[in-house]
Amino acid sequence: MNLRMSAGPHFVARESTQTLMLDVIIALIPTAAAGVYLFGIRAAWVLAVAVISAVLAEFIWQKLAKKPVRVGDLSAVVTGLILGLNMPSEVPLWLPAIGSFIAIILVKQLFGGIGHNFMNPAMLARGIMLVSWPAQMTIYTLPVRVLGTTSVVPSPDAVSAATALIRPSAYSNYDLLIGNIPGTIGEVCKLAIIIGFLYMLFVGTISWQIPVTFVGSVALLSWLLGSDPLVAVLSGGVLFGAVFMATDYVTNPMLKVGHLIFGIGCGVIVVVIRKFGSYPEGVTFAILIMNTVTPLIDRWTSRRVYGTVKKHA
Amino acid sequence: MRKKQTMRGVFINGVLNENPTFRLVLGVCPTLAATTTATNGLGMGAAATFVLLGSNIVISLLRNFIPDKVRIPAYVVVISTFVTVVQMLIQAFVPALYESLGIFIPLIVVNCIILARAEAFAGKNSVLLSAADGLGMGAGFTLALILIGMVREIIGNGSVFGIDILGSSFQPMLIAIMAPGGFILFGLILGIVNSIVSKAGKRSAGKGA
Amino acid sequence: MSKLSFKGGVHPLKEIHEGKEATKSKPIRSYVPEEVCIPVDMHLGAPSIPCVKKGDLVKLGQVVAEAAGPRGIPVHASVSGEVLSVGPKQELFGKPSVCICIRNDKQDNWVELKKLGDVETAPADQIINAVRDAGICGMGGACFPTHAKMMLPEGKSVDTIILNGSECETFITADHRLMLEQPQRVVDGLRAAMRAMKVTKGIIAIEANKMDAYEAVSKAAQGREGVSMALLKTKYPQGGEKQLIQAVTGREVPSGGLPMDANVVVLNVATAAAIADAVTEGKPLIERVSTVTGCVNEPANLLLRVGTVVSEVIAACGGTSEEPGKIFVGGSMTGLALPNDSVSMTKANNCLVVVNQKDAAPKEVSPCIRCARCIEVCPIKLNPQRLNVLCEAGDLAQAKKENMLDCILCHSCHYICPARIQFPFKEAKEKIVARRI
Repeated sequence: MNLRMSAGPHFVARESTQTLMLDVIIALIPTAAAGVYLFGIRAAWVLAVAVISAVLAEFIWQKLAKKPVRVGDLSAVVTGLILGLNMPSEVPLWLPAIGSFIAIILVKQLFGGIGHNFMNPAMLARGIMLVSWPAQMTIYTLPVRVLGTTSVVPSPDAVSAATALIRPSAYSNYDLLIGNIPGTIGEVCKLAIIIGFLYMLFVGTISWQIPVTFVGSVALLSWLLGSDPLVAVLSGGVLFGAVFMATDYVTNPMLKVGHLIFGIGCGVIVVVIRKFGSYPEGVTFAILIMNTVTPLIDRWTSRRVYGTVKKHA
Repeated sequence: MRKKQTMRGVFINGVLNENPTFRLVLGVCPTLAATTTATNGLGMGAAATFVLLGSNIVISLLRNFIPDKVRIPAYVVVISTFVTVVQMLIQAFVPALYESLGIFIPLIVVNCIILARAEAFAGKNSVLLSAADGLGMGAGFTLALILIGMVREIIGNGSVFGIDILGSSFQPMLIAIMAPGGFILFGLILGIVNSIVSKAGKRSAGKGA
Repeated sequence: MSKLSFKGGVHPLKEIHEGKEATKSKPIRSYVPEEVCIPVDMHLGAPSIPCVKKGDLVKLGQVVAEAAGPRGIPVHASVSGEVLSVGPKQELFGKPSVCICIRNDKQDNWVELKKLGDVETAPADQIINAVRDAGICGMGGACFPTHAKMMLPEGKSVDTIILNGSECETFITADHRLMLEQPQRVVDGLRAAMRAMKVTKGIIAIEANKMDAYEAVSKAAQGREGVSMALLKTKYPQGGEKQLIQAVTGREVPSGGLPMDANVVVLNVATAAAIADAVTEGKPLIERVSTVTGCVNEPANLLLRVGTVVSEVIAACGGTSEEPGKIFVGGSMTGLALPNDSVSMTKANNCLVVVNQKDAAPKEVSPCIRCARCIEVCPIKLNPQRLNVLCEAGDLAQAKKENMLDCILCHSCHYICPARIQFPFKEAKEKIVARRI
């Protein structure tokens, strides 16, 4: 008999990088479905182009750089999907394509591939796109269909409209929750995002610390500065960013206490940018800034090793 | 025994082997600021070359007279003289360039390339060689600025030297003409240059073996 | 009932109930081998020195290899019969071990045994000698000579003995069945050890996935002086000394120290049962219960004579049900993969698992995605992700500063890692010690 001699463990957990990514994709399905329902088939095209471009970019790069091709781990699919969901449905289709290439090649592969990017690839790519093509990236339109009874009048003709952040009183809390508002494809339906969050919590993909502290600090600080905390949390990309973008493993701290610091930092920066900055939405830059602070958080947080005495600084 | 330097060798060194932007990575601040268009890059490069040439010659002429302890202030005086001259020249003859380069013209005084070459070369070499070095470094700097400027202008504006080449349907990528885009593009070009140099190095090491 | 536990750890093979379903209800059955090949280096420490030669006729329980030094233990014949060979035979760690092979005459002629009597009345100062003469070593897998563990060095004292009945590893049900079927022996062994070491507190700790064993031992422990029970949460590595001591007593073994530095001694329940036999009947350690499971036709908990060869053991369980890809002894987390089926089951082997080709196939390693699961599960609160980076970079000095030597090699990080990273901690620890970094 030909026996393989290897060191333990001889059986490992079923979770692999691929199953983790698959769980994120499953969690994104309600959001993507809601976005496509609300904004029409155009949204589906944007998502498709983003995902295919991301996978293509990773495949081409890994082939050219003679590295092992790892598109099977589905991380490029997740990046493409999140990037697509971060765009309004009326963007010209070359925009998600270029965005995916920037996310995969510039932010991820040039820094060493999966596990080595210092910022969330989809988030940084979105930031670059926002600054490069500000007009095209902010064509927010009324949804083509609405869910439930609402005063929002849908339009199939891509009528541009102000988002809830620009005109807070224009939409009811129900509209903000269910997504009958202009915005990016993924950020509008908060209910779908919450379903995705609960799924990922249930299967153990993410833990509660970052989303809860992120959303909580946005609510608290907004309330302290005189705004309705519920509206603050349900407007813009806070929920989507807190659940799907700030929870990216590579760019957030390792210890749970680091997660708390990270979440609070993101929340505070979002409110500061919204109130005192020149952009209506601060989620993109808040997460990017906290991504750069992550190594510092990791350096400052540590646990006491079993059998040792806690060192005093 | 140190290889005898020729004027031609020194000049080419400044353009290629020790290109101030891509190999020595000096003067990055004006590089990023002045490459929003190819024309600006050319203008900044020309101004810096003028100053480099002039200051290298004068410093080389005076190299045995300037006491070592006060050499840096002395160099700065020489350099700022030439910068003042070039600033007045640009203001008079190319006012559009004067407007677009703005504060970066007087900042040529503290351009690391000029002070570094004064310290490392002109202070120790003959006048003719220093002139060649000044010209070579200046030429290398100018070529680098034009290259980066062209790339940024094409991507960020669809034009080259002010001439629209990509047509009206082209949607320019605005970040390219802003500071972050400048950093990213500079980094990418530097990466490409590094990989070319290292491949050339491997090839010549292979031949030599 | 509240369950004690420690922070961290994993629950390996939770989806198949830790792989114990096949054997946890199977009563212990004896298997009498055709022949045995007993290695003389089964225990930690210097190998014992053979004192028989080919052709000798030996009785069951006769000393066939003498202890080498005061911390060594003797090796006894586990069958009666003719000695077939004495010499280097089985290769387990790259070099052959000296083995004494005996053909079983199936007579079980015992050698004359020296009893000390009931554990409560036997002379306490002779118990440790009896343990050494019986050749008892840690039967949970480490095989450290038990008498050496019971003899404390100058300046150390112990106030509690914990019996490790957690059996936290996957697949193994040997201790479970022992505690369920023979709880009296287990409690007797604890009492003997307590009396020998003059310790007044003895705690038997059992995991919650064996409530029937817990009930049986509780009943047997009733009325026994100083003996109490502790119920543990089912988690790995609950049976690791450091975690067990922390869960049961709340104390931590200091970094670089031993359990006695926390005033505790830990013994496996099978070791305790062997101690009881040595004291009450003078019986040496010649047989032990081992679980045989995996791809065998009749998984079982066998009472095996020490030195029974693996091929015979597998045949005794109906042979393999599929082409084996790997055979390992111990549990799936820290078990040792065997080079072939001609090696023997020793005093320390509590389990034998046959794995099919598919499950034995190597998993592809992919880059670390910084998910921090390894950090969450480490029972010693180390940072395996960072230690892996340091070891890969060769910076062993920094690894040592970050407590690399405190790693208990439980492989929890390795088990949970989604990128299937092979943490090189065993090699790193060995290098740090060897190079005196």
